[in-house]
Amino acid sequence: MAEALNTKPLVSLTDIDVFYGPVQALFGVNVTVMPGETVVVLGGNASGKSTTVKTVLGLVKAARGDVLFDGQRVNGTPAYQMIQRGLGSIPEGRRMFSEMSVLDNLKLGAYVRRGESKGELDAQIEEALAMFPRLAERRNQVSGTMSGGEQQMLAMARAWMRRPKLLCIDEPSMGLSPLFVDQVYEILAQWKARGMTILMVEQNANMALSIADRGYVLKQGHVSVTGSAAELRDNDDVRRAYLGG
Amino acid sequence: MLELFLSQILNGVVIGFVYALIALGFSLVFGVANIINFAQGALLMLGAFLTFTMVRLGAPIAVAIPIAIVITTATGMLIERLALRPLQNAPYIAPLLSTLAIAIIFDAAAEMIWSAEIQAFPSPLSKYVVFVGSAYLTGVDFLIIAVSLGVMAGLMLFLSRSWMGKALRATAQDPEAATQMGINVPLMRQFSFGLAGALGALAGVLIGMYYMSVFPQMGIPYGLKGFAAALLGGLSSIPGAIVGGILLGIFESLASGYVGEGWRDVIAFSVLLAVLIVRPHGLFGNKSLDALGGASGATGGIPTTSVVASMAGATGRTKQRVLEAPLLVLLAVIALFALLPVLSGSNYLLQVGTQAAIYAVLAVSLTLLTGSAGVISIGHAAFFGVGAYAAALAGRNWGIPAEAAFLLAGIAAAVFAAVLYWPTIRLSGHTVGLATLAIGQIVYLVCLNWVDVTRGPMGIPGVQRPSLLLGIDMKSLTAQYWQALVVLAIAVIIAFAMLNSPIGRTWRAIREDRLAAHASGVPVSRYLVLVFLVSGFLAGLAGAQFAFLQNFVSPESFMIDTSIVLISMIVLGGLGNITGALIGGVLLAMLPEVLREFAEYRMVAYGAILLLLLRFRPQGLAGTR
Repeated sequence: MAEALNTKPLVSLTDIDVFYGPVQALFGVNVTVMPGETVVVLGGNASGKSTTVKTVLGLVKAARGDVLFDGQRVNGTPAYQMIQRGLGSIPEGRRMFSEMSVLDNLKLGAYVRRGESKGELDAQIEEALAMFPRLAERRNQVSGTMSGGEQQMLAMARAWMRRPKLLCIDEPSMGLSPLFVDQVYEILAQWKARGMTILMVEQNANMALSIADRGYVLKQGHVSVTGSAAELRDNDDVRRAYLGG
Repeated sequence: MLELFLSQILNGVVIGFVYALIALGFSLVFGVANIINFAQGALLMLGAFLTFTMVRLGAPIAVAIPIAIVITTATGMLIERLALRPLQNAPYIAPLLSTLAIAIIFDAAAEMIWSAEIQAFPSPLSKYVVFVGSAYLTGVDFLIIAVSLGVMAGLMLFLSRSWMGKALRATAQDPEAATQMGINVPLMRQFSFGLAGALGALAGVLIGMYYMSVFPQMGIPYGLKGFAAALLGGLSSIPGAIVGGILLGIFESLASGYVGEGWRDVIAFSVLLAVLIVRPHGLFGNKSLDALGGASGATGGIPTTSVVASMAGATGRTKQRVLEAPLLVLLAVIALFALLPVLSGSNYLLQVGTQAAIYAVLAVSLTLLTGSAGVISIGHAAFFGVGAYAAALAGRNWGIPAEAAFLLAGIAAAVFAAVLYWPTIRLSGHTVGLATLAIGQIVYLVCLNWVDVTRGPMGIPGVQRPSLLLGIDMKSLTAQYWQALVVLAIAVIIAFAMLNSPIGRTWRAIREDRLAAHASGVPVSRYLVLVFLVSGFLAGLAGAQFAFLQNFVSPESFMIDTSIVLISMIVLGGLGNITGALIGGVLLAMLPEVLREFAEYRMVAYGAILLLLLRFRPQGLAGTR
């Protein structure tokens, strides 16, 4: 942690307001992610947690406040350029290119690295498949025909192909069986151990806090609680609302 | 006998390859940008005419063709940038009408530049002939097959192997996920328009060589044939497009060989219609069409099927101001207009006034259908035409008095609308636009070719006006003017009563969310039949009044131009709003009179007005309801 204090945040949201038409979704939200950290944003339905990550990704535009990535102000930068700058994304609901094969989905994950040599990319695809044996068995299968859990694996592998500086994840456990949830978090823990920086949104607070360093709790578009994962686990409000007593 | 059959089949296969090229452009844009691009045919026409012009200026054809393709590609990309990208969050109906407006502008502009005549197109290869039994193939036929196959193979490789091709496919399958892979989705959409332009231009040139001629109005028919081929083949696959194109080519070739050349397009558009209705997923089954009218599946929210709601959510519309005059005010205004003959005896004014009243009736009729019930009709001129022909035939051939002919025209158009459009009822959104456009074209072509009944292009002269009513001689122009106002008043009363009753509310509910309407137990098809009946009846009355005013009907009055003018009127006024329809109808009916010396720019002006409205004021002058 001592080194972390000296480095600049990889991402910082400062006093962010976001509107959907006339409806305000975020009110003066502040979130930072330091390099190497895993940060989780918790909250109930319509609390603004997905919007927070979408603001970082450039999928929604902040009406007020600053979005900084890697020290540069990136307000209004479209999402595809944010990916080019080094973000990776595992979108909510997995979002497969459902008529394409597993391999093609993985290749598209490396779209912004298309200038690199084919050998390099192919090697990384093999690495990704080694990480997810279930995908390796199905490399030529059309992705839309796979189960939800397998699709979540593919979405993860696909984002990993980007070699992101920051990986944004929206609800990785949504709609998955407990077995798959465990697998997802196993992989995330591995990536974290290898030094990947992660910003994730999650309803499953128990699982998320098991790997996160810090967290933010959003309530009706405001940050209501923030602290280390341990602090959040011990916070009575958080426990009552998200950890089941 | 067999020789004729064989040679028709061969002809069909060859032209089918061209249709496949058009179909591919259509499918690409449809897949990537998720819209039906009515401007596809305009790009085809542009490519053909650019080549024609360069060759006429002395360029070798082999040089002219690539240049024409490059310019058309750029034009396609420009169309996306100027006419579609700004409409990202516009109402659902906007991008569809926007490409239609572009098509009309190109069409009309081409007529101004190159005249409406058919022009001879250079076709150096057609002098080489190879006999196959008694049928024969020319050099052009071989060129068409070779070029088409080459382009398709190249396209297939490009889409499956290159990064750009993969990015295009990714955008087609899930644009939001594509964005999150770092793909520039707007650029991909633009690129798909460029590709469609290139394919269109190539197809245009090949058509020019095949028929050794080009004409400015070729865009819409060939665009429609491209849609037909694409739908037949199931939209998404290249082999599908080839099969669809060739089948369509064979169908229409046989039709022209055995029934008559005039029926070629009728068959082609009927195939389009039949596929839309019977097998919208194409021969090979593909559900991508569902995205243009209905729920898009499990990912993300279910999009509204409303044609007037904004894609960004209905939230933006809540603050809209709507101008809606009460019925009595509308009737009072019509009564005020009735004073015109007292104030001025000008025949010119009366003529214009009667025309304006007829168009106002049509606009009210269309706004019920498209505005309130959300059935996008790009073939409204068909209702109008059926009414006009019914009135004309009733008097001339069957000796029915003109007074009764009025009612007959209304009923004929209502029955026509309900029966012919009945099968289209389960279509919604953009696809119903395609179907109505096809029906509109078919009706026009039938009027043109069914010479025994309609006298074809010569039209039916000597339509008798009603004679005496309440002691007033109805044959005078003044009386006709009053009669048109009475028809207008009746139309307004009927429309008003309907829209302000539970029926109107149900129509709007169906427009806003057809699934929800079904789920709430609304008998959706019954309500849609009702709106077709009412809308058809009113348009039929307008048609009869038109026949009486002109004393003459001919197919020319019921071309697609008329349908587009009507759409411009109701968009200008505000969809689903009677006051708006009246304002839009009268304003646009007067426009050509105001711009007398620019009469030839008329259609360009209508197209431009439509385009600008969609961009800057999609709710129209009076607001949608």
